[in-house]
Amino acid sequence: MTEASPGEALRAPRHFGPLPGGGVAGIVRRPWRQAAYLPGRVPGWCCQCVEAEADEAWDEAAAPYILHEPEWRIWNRLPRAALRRQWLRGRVAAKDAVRWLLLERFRLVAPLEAVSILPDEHGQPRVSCSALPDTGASLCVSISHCGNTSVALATERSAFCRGVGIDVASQTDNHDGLAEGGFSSVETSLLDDCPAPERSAWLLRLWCAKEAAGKALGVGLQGNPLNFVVCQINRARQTVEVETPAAPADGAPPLPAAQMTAHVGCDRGLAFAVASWKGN
Amino acid sequence: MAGPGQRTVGNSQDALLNEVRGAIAQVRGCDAGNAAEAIRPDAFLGADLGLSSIAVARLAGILQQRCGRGPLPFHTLFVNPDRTLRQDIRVAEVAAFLERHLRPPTP
Repeated sequence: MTEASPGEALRAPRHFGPLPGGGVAGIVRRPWRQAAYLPGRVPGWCCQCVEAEADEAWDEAAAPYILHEPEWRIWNRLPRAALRRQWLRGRVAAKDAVRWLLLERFRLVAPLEAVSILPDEHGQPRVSCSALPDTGASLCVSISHCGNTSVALATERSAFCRGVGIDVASQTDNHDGLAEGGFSSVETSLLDDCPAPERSAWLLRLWCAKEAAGKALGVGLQGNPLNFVVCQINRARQTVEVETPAAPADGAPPLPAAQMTAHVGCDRGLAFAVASWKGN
Repeated sequence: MAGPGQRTVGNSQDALLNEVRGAIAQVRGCDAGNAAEAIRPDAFLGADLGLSSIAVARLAGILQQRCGRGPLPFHTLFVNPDRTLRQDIRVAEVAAFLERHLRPPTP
């Protein structure tokens, strides 16, 4: 771990460094500034990892150099090659986002393998990094996948942010059934005044907002999209208000009372939402 | 009662299982009959079939449409009797859920 000069911090993406065999792996890594804007002026660092072509042999060879041993053990137990690729790509995006934060916020240059991201009991990714105890900082990160793209959003835990969430979904995929299976009629009625050509794109953003809010709270949707209710939309500001219901669904464990604003948008065919939870 | 453009589904176990397989194939973007038949009843929606949370929500919506029903409490499939949460469910459990909820009430 080394300290970067202030000037170097402006060239953060260069510090991503190459992946093992990166030139032949068909993987593109890039910062995603559009999704780094969190409501409440919470600074965020967001990165994408896009797989241009699948290469299972590269996965097997490179994974031990990208993942910590506990991460590698989880990755190695995943049942399908596609799932392993997605998981590995998500870790690369998350580590890049954390390393970019470390560089800009603390002027620390951390190699890929210095950052470890392991799931907690709810599946929420937890960041550990050998340099963090010196700074006294605690970081939070969220990961999402869509098709051949994985994205991750990192930020510093503070009194204004106890967790972050990001979600992405493809605008070109078929989304039949989403309105009926993902939303109540009250929620979909919020789009009644939305011009018809934009409605399906907005429905997708509302879904992403629910997912992002669930991740920010650290519990996810728990199999029930109505655990996070869309209560207000501001299409001009590209924000969506999401809250947990007053009473849990039948038989379900209770959720903490929470209200969040998600920033939503679209970029290169991806709908996205980012949210942060500041606690109660 | 099914609405316009909707159809009711036979309530036999096999018919419901085939309906669920067909809906999963639709969500996965492979509507061909043999794609649906290849889906095993004991397969997990997430781990084996690769359905994401948005795909599971779409599956619930499509099944509601196919069954000509309003909202069904699909979320109960993800909660154990002791109120702990389940990460994944099997194809056959979705069919059994439909059977329970489409069964006419006993007089």
